[in-house]
Amino acid sequence: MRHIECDSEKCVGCLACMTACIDQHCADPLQSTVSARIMLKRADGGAGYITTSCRHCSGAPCAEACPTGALFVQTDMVQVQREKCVGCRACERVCLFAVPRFDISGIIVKCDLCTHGPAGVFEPSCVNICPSGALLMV
Amino acid sequence: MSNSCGGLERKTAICGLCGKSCLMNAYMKNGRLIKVEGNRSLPHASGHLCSKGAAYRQYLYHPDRLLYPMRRVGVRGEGKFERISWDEALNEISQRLLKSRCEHGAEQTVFFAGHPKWFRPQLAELADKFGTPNYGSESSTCAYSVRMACRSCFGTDVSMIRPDFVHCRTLVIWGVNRAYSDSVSGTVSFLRAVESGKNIIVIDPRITPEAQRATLHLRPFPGTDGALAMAIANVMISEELYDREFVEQYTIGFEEYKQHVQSFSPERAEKICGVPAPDIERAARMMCIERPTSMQLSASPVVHNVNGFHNCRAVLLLNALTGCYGVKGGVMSPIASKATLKGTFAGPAADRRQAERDLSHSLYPAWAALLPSEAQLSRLAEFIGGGGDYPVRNLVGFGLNHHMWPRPDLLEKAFDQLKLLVNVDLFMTDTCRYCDILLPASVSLEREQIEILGGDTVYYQPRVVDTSGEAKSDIEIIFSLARCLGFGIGSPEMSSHDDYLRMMLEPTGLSLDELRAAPGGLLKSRQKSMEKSTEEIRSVKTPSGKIEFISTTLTQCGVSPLPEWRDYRKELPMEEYPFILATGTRLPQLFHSRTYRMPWLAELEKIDKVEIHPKDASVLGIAQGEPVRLSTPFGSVELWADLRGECLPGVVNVYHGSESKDINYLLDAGYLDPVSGFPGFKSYCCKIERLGDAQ
Repeated sequence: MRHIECDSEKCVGCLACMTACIDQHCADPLQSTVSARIMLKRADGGAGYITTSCRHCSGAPCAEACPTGALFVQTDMVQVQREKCVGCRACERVCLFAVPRFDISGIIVKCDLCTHGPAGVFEPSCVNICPSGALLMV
Repeated sequence: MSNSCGGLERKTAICGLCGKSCLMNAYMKNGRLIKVEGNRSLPHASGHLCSKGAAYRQYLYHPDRLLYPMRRVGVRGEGKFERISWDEALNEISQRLLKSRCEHGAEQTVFFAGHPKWFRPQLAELADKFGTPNYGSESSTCAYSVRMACRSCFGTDVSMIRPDFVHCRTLVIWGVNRAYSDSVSGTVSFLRAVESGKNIIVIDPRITPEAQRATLHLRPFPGTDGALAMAIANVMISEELYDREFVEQYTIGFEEYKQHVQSFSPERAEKICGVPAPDIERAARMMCIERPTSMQLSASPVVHNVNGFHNCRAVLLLNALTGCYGVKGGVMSPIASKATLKGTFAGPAADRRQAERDLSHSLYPAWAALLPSEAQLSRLAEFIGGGGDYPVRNLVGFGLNHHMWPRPDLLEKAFDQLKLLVNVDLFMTDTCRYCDILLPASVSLEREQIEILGGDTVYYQPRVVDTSGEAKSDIEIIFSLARCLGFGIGSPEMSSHDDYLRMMLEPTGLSLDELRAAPGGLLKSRQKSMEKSTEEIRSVKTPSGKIEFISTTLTQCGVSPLPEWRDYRKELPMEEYPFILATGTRLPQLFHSRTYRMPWLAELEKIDKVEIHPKDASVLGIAQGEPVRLSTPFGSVELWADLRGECLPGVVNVYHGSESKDINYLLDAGYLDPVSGFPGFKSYCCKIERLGDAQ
């Protein structure tokens, strides 16, 4: 399914994708929240950068595991309906890529390819903002 | 430019959050900003923003924004204020300043520009017309030591000119990580240079994103750049790689410099800097053989050392040896004819009358000779505390932040000595809490802006959002204050932001009205500056008219005219505090103190951290994420350990400017470069202990 790939040859670790993700999805500018993108650091502390977010897996185990239907497959991606999330983190336990994140209320934050947000539907904000051209929707 | 997009209004804008001028799209609904993104429709727009620009909405609507003029009602530092009107505020400030001038002289009032920088020429004029030579800025700790070094060698500000990424064959990036400090244009121009196959030499203790992509990465210990540069010069000269013809024709003092660098063999430099001698030789050969060679130097890291000025001169003089000065692909490439604006920060700065009366004049004679436009104010706490030639009674700051200096506690104490402390700011900062009167400034999207895009297009940005509260543009505040003090700014006198924009446009031949009426606010400039040829650039404005290995000005100021080498590690208690502490190493989500208050950025990762190499951490038994105590001779702070392979073993990195865990409290206020007055931010000493082990 469609998802955002990060080319580690190009990524410089500038974190612009992470803030752009917040700006797209957070209606209240005063609210503290999390980005659906994650900066991965190498376990050995070595240099090098890569960011990641939901892979929108075929047969999405997170959607299978979600007891409330907050996560579901629709139009070639794993969609999220945050108001249905109860914060049980069942998705986190089955995700192979450790990408589900939870805001301060414990509600899931995940990539929806920028199909939602206070300003509406946009080209994925992380791809749009990336100065190094490391991010691509595939 | 604005248009409609899915029920939203899309406006184009200039970000300006950090002082760069990245172009953005601002999506508006009912007059409120609801999303930003990089702009692709304006001429030469890159289409991208950085992490900070992407958080513009939180910056604009932040609850800490100052919305009204305020007067302090509590004790200094307490943060209790009452709202007053603009008239009341400006009258009170001006009356107190005029009374002070009448009773004690104008020089006992200091005007200070922190960040942003765009209004500095007009603030300097305000100070000058008020009659005080004590106008200074945050450049007392950033950029101006590099500027001094540039002027002493080349008579001009080489470092302010972008390297010629396109035409160079070799690009030297010395101590700068533009991927984090100038993420948009820095990353784009750098990656293009990589893709086009340039030789890239990065000189940086850390493995930066640029270093990862370099042909050659030299990793000197912080503060040893001068020894490294002189060893590179040694190889260039001993192997006869340098441009003999250029050196003979355009420089003076080469023979003395040749003698001077003879003792800096690559092997000796290896011992001092930790850079393998063969890499030093390779760098020298690449810079001279694979020409033209261009150089990107940062505003601060090299000069944030007690020998920083001399180190920086040694680095700059390599550009005289390569002979690439003034050529296409080199340093200071021939300048094409282009549109310019008047009265901007990037333009020439006016000299001050009575500069010799300023507080730092006798302390830093080389600064006084090379930077007549402002005073060196890094010893402000000392001056306010009574350590200057005369007292300081009043301090009027625009974006003043006392956390920028070593030992902010000294200023917190010194503020009590002031009769009047004023700050114009965006937010209720820690410094604001000490002020007598606060004035609210507008952010970039709340004021009209003009920029040159590419070489010749003038872009006018109308106000994008309504002004928050009663905030005003800094320039209007300067004009109003000047009027209350009994004089005007500019000729003809300016009284409004419109007047300011008209003045800026003078060199373009465009009127503000026609630019406002133009589609998208875009018009080609009618006039352009003259182009500058290689020969004109090489007619340098030093006292000798030549590029100076031996500086005439420094000789006159009693400063060593050749770059000296001094090893700070021999002067610090490194046995007890064995790590080199480099503060201010760039993190992409932070811009000095400004973005700590923005959770969208400050919470991307826990930022109260010390970065340490995994090998050093392992010796100390410290694991990733573990709390540690960092101590210097001036105190200690608890941070968490971020084990980063990017760090040079033996060197730890902490970001600066945090109000809650400010590393500057642990630095030595007297640890300054004696030539420039710059603090040794990048090379102090510390020890690290696991929190459980710390005494």
